[in-house]
Amino acid sequence: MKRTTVYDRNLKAKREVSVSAFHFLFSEIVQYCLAKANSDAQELERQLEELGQPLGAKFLELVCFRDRNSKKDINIIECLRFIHGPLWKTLFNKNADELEQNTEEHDTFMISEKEPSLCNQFACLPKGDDYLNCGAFVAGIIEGILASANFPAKVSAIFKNDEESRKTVFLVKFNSDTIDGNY
Amino acid sequence: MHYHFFIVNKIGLIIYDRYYQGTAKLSANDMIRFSSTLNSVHLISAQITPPNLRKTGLKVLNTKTFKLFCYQTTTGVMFCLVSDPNSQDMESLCKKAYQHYSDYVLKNPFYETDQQIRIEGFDQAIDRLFLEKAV
Repeated sequence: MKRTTVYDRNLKAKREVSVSAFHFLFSEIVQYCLAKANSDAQELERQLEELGQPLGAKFLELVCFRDRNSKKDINIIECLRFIHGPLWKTLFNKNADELEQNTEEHDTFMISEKEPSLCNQFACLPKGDDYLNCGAFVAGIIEGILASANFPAKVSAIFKNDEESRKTVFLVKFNSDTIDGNY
Repeated sequence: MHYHFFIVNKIGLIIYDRYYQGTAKLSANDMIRFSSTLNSVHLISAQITPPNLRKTGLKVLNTKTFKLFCYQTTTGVMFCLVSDPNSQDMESLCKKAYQHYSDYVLKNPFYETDQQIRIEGFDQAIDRLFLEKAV
């Protein structure tokens, strides 16, 4: 009898994963990266981003295939809206809270979340030590999506320093040639 | 009303404590002595349980002025709660605290097992748990 593998599954069918299982796995990933990075915060963030990037490329294909008959956006704003809406919904089962453009630098966009993001919910350092944001993993995913949509950009996850809410902002800074061609 | 909540790890060291209702704090040394004594009493009482009964160890300590409840998990971590003598449902509270512990503490990659717990989210969850029920 032939065993069914993950490749035989229907791609259109949506699946849910246990959040708890995700947290344990993510916790192990962070610990693994931390050991590899010799406890260097920036190096850890870079590694998390690196892990997220190939995921992003795959997610772009998958979500486009599922929701929009493989049609992709060729406009920066549309692409960001796509990340903010359908993609966020696939990843976290909700829309991202805000999508803004920086008023001074037009090549910079911000996607923000009101509640602590999935990656930061439990994986956080004691109060005061805000230099490390595990949302770097999600930032890597966004970067991967934008790269495979041909809008190369640098995405970083930062904490917005207001109240105690630990809001995470994903800062999307497009490369200068990306912006020139599309604006 | 709850006075004091603390967690003792499997070798009898205190890893977390929290005081409520303005209860006087024990010094760090006293707390270590207290937790290791409690751990020993717990083990001994499990050993001297008659053979046909379940060996649960120390579970409740009732006195005129307070009630101490211990909930030991299968991994050996003890969740202890000191409340006033009329408190009910202390077991379910401890189990909820255990739930928060497995969420906020065990899923945190920066926490090292059997070390002191200093996690903001956990503090908040524990305070919510014990202060809400106290009203």
